[in-house]
Parts: sequence; structure tokens; C-alpha cells
Amino acid sequence: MSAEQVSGLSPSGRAPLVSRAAALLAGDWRYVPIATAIVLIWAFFALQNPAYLTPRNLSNLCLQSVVTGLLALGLVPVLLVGQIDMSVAAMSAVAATITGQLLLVERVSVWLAIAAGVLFGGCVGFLQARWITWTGTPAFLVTFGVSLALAALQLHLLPVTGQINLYGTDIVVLAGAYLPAGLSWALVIFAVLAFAAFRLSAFVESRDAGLEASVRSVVLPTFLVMVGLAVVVGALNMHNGVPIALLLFVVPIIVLVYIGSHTKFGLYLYATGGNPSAVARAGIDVDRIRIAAFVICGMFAAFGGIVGASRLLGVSAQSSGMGTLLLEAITAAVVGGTSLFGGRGSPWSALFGALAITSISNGIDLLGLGTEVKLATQGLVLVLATSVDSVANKFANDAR
Amino acid sequence: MDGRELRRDAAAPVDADNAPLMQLRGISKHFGGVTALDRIELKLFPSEIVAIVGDNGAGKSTLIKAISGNQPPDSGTFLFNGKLVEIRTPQDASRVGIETVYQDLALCDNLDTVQNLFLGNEKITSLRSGRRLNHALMESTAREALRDIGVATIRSLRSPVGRLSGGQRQGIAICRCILRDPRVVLLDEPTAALGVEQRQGVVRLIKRLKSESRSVIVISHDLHDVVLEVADRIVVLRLGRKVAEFQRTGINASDLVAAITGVQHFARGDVRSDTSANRMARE
Amino acid sequence: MTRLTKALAAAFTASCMAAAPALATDSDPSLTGTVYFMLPNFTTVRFVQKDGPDFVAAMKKYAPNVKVELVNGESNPGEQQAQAEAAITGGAKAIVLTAADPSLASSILFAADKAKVPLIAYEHEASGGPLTYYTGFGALKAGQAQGKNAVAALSDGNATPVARLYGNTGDFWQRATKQGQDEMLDPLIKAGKIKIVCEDYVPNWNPSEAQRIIEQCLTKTNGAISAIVASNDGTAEGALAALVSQGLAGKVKILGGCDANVTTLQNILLGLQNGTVLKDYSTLADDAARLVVAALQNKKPEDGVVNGEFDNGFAKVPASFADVTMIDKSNVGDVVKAGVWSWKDICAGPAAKTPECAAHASD
Ligand SMILES: Nc1ncnc2c1ncn2[C@@H]1O[C@H](COP(=O)(O)OP(=O)(O)O)[C@@H](O)[C@H]1O
Ligand SMILES: [Mg+2]
Repeated sequence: MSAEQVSGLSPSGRAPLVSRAAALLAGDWRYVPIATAIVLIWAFFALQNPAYLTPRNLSNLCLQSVVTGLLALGLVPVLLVGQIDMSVAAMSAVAATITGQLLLVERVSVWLAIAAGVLFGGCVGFLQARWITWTGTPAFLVTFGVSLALAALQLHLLPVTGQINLYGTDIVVLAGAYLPAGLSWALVIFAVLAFAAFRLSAFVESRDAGLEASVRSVVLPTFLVMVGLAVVVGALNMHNGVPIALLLFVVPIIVLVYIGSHTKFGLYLYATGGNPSAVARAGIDVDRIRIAAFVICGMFAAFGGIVGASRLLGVSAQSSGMGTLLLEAITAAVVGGTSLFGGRGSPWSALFGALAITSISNGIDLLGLGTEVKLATQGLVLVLATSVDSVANKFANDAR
Repeated sequence: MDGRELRRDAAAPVDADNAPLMQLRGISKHFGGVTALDRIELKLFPSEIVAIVGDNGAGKSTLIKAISGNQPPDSGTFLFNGKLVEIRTPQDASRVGIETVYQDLALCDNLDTVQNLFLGNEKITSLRSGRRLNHALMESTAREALRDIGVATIRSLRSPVGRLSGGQRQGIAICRCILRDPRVVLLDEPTAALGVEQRQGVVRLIKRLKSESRSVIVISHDLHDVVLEVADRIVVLRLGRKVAEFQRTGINASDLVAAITGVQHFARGDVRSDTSANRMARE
Repeated sequence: MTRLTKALAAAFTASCMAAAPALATDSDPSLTGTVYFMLPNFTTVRFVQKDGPDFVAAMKKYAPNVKVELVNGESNPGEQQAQAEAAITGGAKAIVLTAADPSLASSILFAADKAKVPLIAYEHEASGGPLTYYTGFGALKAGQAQGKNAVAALSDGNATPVARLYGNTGDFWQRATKQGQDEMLDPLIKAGKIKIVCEDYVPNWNPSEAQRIIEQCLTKTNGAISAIVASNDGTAEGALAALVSQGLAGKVKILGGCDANVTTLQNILLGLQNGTVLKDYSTLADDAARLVVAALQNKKPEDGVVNGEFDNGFAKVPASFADVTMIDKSNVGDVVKAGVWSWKDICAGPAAKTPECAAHASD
């Protein structure tokens, strides 16, 4: 069959510079801005106080970003389908309370207590999503209402003392333990090999399908992953080692990234955020995709709360789910490049975003700059990130 | 019956030996007080292109939505290969071999070309390799399919379709449809948003569908470049009713305009100049 | 002040004409109507779990026929204002107010004043408007107690590195406790016995924030701090979590503290924290009930109830300051005696194995 060239369907002329840059930023280079931002933040604070870039503080940074990061990670699928969940912070508090009470009062095993907390998060996520899809009420309102109800539930679940003390219980392992150096290096080797194998199989599949593929697409990324991991693990091993909590954050990210780019469900998350009616017309149950996103979100919010309780060695109405946690989680996801408008983003954004905003608050606390500076910066970062997101979104729509 | 209704002789089948591939009987649809479709009868023969024309609000889109399962009619039946079929969802339509290129194209702007082409119809790898999305296979299939239909100009099949031109997007929407190997393709205003050059591309694609022995129903306002260029038969809707049906041979644009608007202009005799198939009768 | 509130004037008038000694706080069944106790939020659990019920019980004792309504402002000053308006419209005989935001309560104060409803500010400062009475723990006293606790542990040091955690920037309790602490600590700082190496305010007294602040302090000093002076128990617990994750628990002293949280008491028994300041909420609720009854009877409160003056920036009003007690390992039992917690509450988890708990295992 001769390939008839239809001139009518060709793009008109050369793409302007801006749109080519936008294309790059949406593609392979999409983590360049946030990575640059993190480097700048680090450079700034390191100049103010050399203690900032020490292994000890890198260890702090990792631990401090995990709770916000886990909440942000849960938000990613919900944001991808074009929804929002305002209940994550309250959810984290209730799940931590449930797990803590089960552990101390019911004396169930740690894993069962954690599973119950996470399951609760999933169930609430399911119920609110079912309600949202069934009634068509904006998710913003429903989840906000649910968050108030959850705050009340937490007060009801807390013991009369208003506190759960987790000091000396097994759950502190989640956030308080570190990998032995040998094991961490073994994991690095395993991760690099697994990554290389995965890249290689993708390369072989492309070549077999007759697509142009180069070995460079295997070697270069593998090399970068290897160097990156070695630097991070090496630095952390100079202090206490790789925190278990960091693994509990990064491993789920990798799982979600895999789901996002190699499964139908992941693809449908993106598609639903892009054009739900098109997805429905393609024979896909959009509501089920949305509900699944909220279930994932609820589970990660719950897990984040439990890790937070483990880190703080306790739960109280004042410590969990309070203050700026919700805004921080949303900011983290958006700063990392997941759009509030749906269809754009990646689970990695939770890592980069949480790292970026924690790097800032970590530095402010290190310099002892006080509450005003902290709040002002948080607010500013939120406004900046969402504005960039809005402009990017507008640009994506205007590009045609 | 209001006295001024226009009637058409039943158009002779393109190929009298063949039974119709698809037949609509008495399709009606109401929106509150509005009768969007009023007892529509329509036959579609194998390898035939039927154009549906009519003024805005005539019911063209509603008819396409009824056939594609997006908006099931209130009453009426569908026959496919002579057999009664139930079409209540887009999946029902797909199952009998009807695919639709929607007026809004139904593309996800944030997904790339390959992802859009296979949305809801993805290819996955073997159980042994984890039943993952088979990106490589889908990409090579997509490349081939796009080349086949002459849309080979998309720079990167892996960048979001939101950045492509209208013509390219139209091409992708049609290609997606073809990938499902349909018997019948429904196109709603495929050229509305396109420039002249791009329109010719789409016209060529429609002709190509016919040459692959698919049947096509196309809605268009573009009488010269699309309707009279590709259609074997032209159906005119007005206020939800089928008011005329023409074989393309021997008809011209002003006949169509007259039928669409319902205003007769006898000033030029040629409107009434009869080929038997196109004679317009008045009661 | 040219214009004192009418209610206040009434109270003073009452005090002047009180010929007979006011036995206001004997049970007075003649009093009727509804008194509103406006709680600030759900997050500071003591208000919902202790102060509210204690006040209801005290009112039952002194004025059995007065109905007490508890309403909660849910941390929202606007909400609380609406609740106050509803209470006044509903014919409140008196309002006991713990402001959701102490600096945004003046409209409530003026509304009550206009409707001649006596208003007693409870624990939280309610500034910028007329008040009938104030009752609360002396935050200054608490700060002084915290300071004394720190001085006792640090007075023989030499440039001992110390970190200080203050409360939520700008709120009344934070300012007063810091002032009290400063009175005690400044001489030590001047004498070079201690050196403050980190100090910061903890947004909303949030323990997680306190944890991060101490982690950053440890980073800055490379782990070289000897003591942390905390302004309440929640922040002390956050500080302890930071120490635990760095393997420093028990090595760095945690001083100060306030509220006698159960977790903190457990930490004290385990030797992880030095002490805490106890505020016996039932004393406060009792004082508030006596003040309310006095206001309803239009009489001067019983002798000894009013023991000071409180300046809310609008007027100096008669105030009843409750005493605070410093609790350490040796007198944890006082918390139980005050009825705040039971030994069973305290002796849970690892603390159950301490000798103090073993001694009260049967309680
Ligand atoms: N979802 C709907 N609800 C109410 N009325 C509708 C709806 N869809 C179409 N209509 C009405 O049905 C008639 C036919 O519309 P349509 O099929 O879109 O016309 P066309 O595509 O020929 O311009 C119009 O009067 C239109 O207003
Ligand atoms: Mg239409």
C-alpha cells in the first residue's frame, strides 16, 4: 500500500520556540525545573549555614518530608483524574488514632493495626468517591465536609487523656529505624539491576516491533540512576543510614509509577483527567476509575498519618492532621508538577514536591527564622506553584 | 399530515442485489417538547457513503448519537444484516461494527497519539511478561495505520495530541476508528474546524473508507467539498424529519439548499428537471 | 477608663452595698435560666473533656436550677461570635467565654455588655472589650514555675547549651509564660552559666513543628545541646521525639512543660522529661461557677475568689487566678489527687514498669 502523503494533514510550518520548549518540559525534561529549584534552595540555605548540606541534615530532610510526601502521593491519582481530596490530613489523623488505639488498647499486632488504619482510609475514600460520582457534588465540598466529620471522629476515638503515647511500642520502627549499610548497598545494586533489566526489555520490545531504538536509552538512564542512588545512599550512610521511612515512601512511588505507565488502569487515570466523556465513549467506566483514585488516596493518607504518628511517637488532636499539613500536601503535589486541572503529573511529583517544600521549612527552622517567615514562605510557594500550573494549563490548551 | 410535506421516492439501492447492511426503522427522539427525530427511516448499503444534511437543529447530531449508542432513541429499531440489534451504549454499537468519529473528536488532549488511538482497546503483553501495556506493539501498529491512511506527518507519536493541528487530530480520530475495523463509520462534521487543504485530506480519508468496503454516514454542512464530492446518497433532515433523499448523480448544490431550507425556487427549471430518482413530489 | 461596663458597674455596686457577707456559693435554688459556656475548639481536648463537664458539675452544686449550655466555637472566631449572638438572643443569664481567638473576641464582649449579660472570660484572654470577671491560671506563674524548674537543673553549669521552645507566636499564654521563664533564666544567661543556642516559636503549639525545630537545632549544633526548655507538654513531647530519633532520649534534659499531659507524666516517670506544670482544671471551673453565681445574684464574690486584677487592654477587671503546681517524678501522685488523671491512666505502656506505678498497681 503506497503511503499517500496528505499535505492537508501536515502541521503548518515550524513549531515556535516557546511551544517546543513547552513540549520538552512536558516530556523528558519535565523534572528539570523542580530539580533546579531544589538545587537553588539547597545552595541558598547552605550558604546561610553550612550545617544545611551535611549528611545529618539530609537524613532529617528525608524523614521530615515523608509524611507530607505520602499524603501528596495519595493526592496524585486524585488530581490526575481531575478531582481533589481535602480530607487527607484529617484522614491521616483518624487512621493514626485507629492504629494507635488498636495497638495500645486492643493489643493487636503492629501489622494488623497498620492494616486496619490503612483499610479505614481506603473505605472512607471509597465512600466519599461513591457519593461524589453518584450525586455529582463537587469533590472539593464533599471531601471538605468529610474532613470535618473525620476531625470529630478522631476526638471521639481518642482516649479521655486526649493522647496516645506510642513510645516503646513496635510501631516506632516505621519512622525510627534505619537500614544497615550493607543491606542498603545490596538494595542499591538490586535497584540498578532491576532498572537496567526493565529498560533493556523495553529496548528489545521496541526493536522487535521495528521501532527505532538505541542502546543509549538503556545505558544512560541506568548510569544516572546508579550515580544518583550511590550519592544519596552514601550520604545517608554517613549519618544513621537509610531511614526505613524513606523506603516506605519511595517504594510505593515506584509501584504507582509502574501502574501509571504500564497498566490500563494507570492510563485511564490520565485519560479521565484529560477528557472524561471521551473515556466513557471508549467504553471505560469513568466512575470506577475515579473511585479507585480516591481509594488509593485514602489509603496513602492513612498510611502517611500512621508513619507520622510513628515519627512523633504519639497521636493527639493537636499533633495530627492539624495546621498546614493539608495545604503542604497539595502544594507538594503541585510543586512537583501534578496539575490541579487533571491529566498531568506523576507520582514522582510527590517526592520532588515534598522534598522541595521540606527543604524550605527545614532551612527556615535551621536558621530559626520564626513563624512569620515560615507561613509567608509556605503561602508564597503555594501561590507560585499553582500559578505556574495554571499558566502551564492555559498554555497547553492554547497550544493548538 | 400537514399538507406541505415533502416526500421522496424511495431511492434505488446502490446495488440492488445487496440487502442493506444497516437499517433504521421509525427512529424517534424527543427532548421535552422538542421532537429532535421524528420516525426516521434510513438504509445503509455495504460500501456506501450516505451524507446527512440539514440546517442547524435539524437533528443530525441526534441521529448520529442514536446510532452510535450515545443517546438511545425513544422509539424505533435497528436492523444489522437483517437482524434486529439493540444499541443502547457505544459498546453495543462497537460490537455490531459501528464506530463514530465525534464532532468534538473525543480525544484526550493530554495523551499522546498512540494512547489515543488505542484508548479502551489497548494491546497488552503476554502473561509471561506481566500483561503490561504493550507500548512497542501499539506504537508500531499506530505508525503503520497512520501511514496507511496518509497521516504520516505527526512528528512525535509520543507527544500530547493537544499540541497537534486540527487536521492531524481529525486524522487520529478517524484512524482510531479504523483500527477497530468497523463495518460502519459515523462522522459528525469532520471538516467543520478545518482549513481548505485539510478538508481535502479528510475527504480522501472518507473515500478510502469506502474503498476498504466500509459504509459511511457523514454529517456535513460542506455541500461542495464534502457532500457532493463523496456521498453516494444524500439524506436531508429538517426539524427532525427526513424530508428528502437524493442519489448524488445529477443533483447540485442548489437542489440541496432548497431541500434543506424548504424554500422552493422554481425560477430555475433545473431544480425540477427530473431524473427519476431525484424528482421531488409535492402533495 | 471613662466608661466601664454596666455589668461591671453593677458588680461593683453590688460589692459596695454587700452588707452581709456574701455566701454566694452556697447552693442557691432560686437562680434559674441558662448560662452558656463557650468553648474555643475541639483540638485542645481539656476544654471539651475537663473544663466543660467540671463547670457543669460546679454549677449543679451552686445553682442547681440553672441550665448550662456548652457550645463550641470550633477554632473559628466568626462561628463563636454567631454562637454568642444566638446565646444572647436566647436570653442567656451569663456567658463564660473561652475565646476561640483571644484577639478577636471584642465584638462578643460588646454585644454581651449591650444586652447586660455578665461575661466571664475563662482561661483565654479576651481583649479589647468590657468584661465582668476574668478567671484563669496565671500564665505568668506557669512561666515562672517552668523557669524555676530549669534553673534548678542548670544553675551549676558553665555555658551549658540550651534550646528554648516558645508557644504560638503572639498568643497571650505564650507571651506570659515566656516572660515568667525569662525572669528566672536571664540571670543564668547573664552569669554565663547557660547559653541559648536555639530558640523558636512553635506554630499552634504543634508537637510536629516542635519536633522539626529540635531536629534542626541538633543539626545546627551537631547534636551538642544539654537541655531543652519547653513551654508546654505537647511541644516537650515533640522535642522528645526528635531526641529519640537521634538516640539522645534521656541524655538531653527536657525542662519546663505545662498541662500534665498523660504522655508527659509517663515520660517523667521514665526519666525522659524532668517535670511539668499542673493546672488543676477543676479549681478553675469551680472559680468560674462561683463568679457566675455572684454575677447572677448581683453580689460580690465570696472572699478569696477574686485574688487579682486582669488587664485585657480595655479595662482592668477583677480576676481569679488559680494556682499552678510543679510536678516531677516525686509528686506525680498530686495529679491523681487533684482528680486530673488516675494512676490507671498514667500507668500504661512502658511507664507501667516504673517503681511509682508498681506502688500504685492496685489503685
Ligand atoms: N440533549 C439535548 N437536550 C435537549 N434538546 C436537545 C438535546 N440535543 C439536541 N436537542 C435539540 O434537538 C434538536 C436537534 O439537535 P441536533 O441533533 O444537535 O441538531 P443538528 O446537529 O442537526 O444541528 C435541536 O432542537 C436541539 O436543540
Ligand atoms: Mg450537530
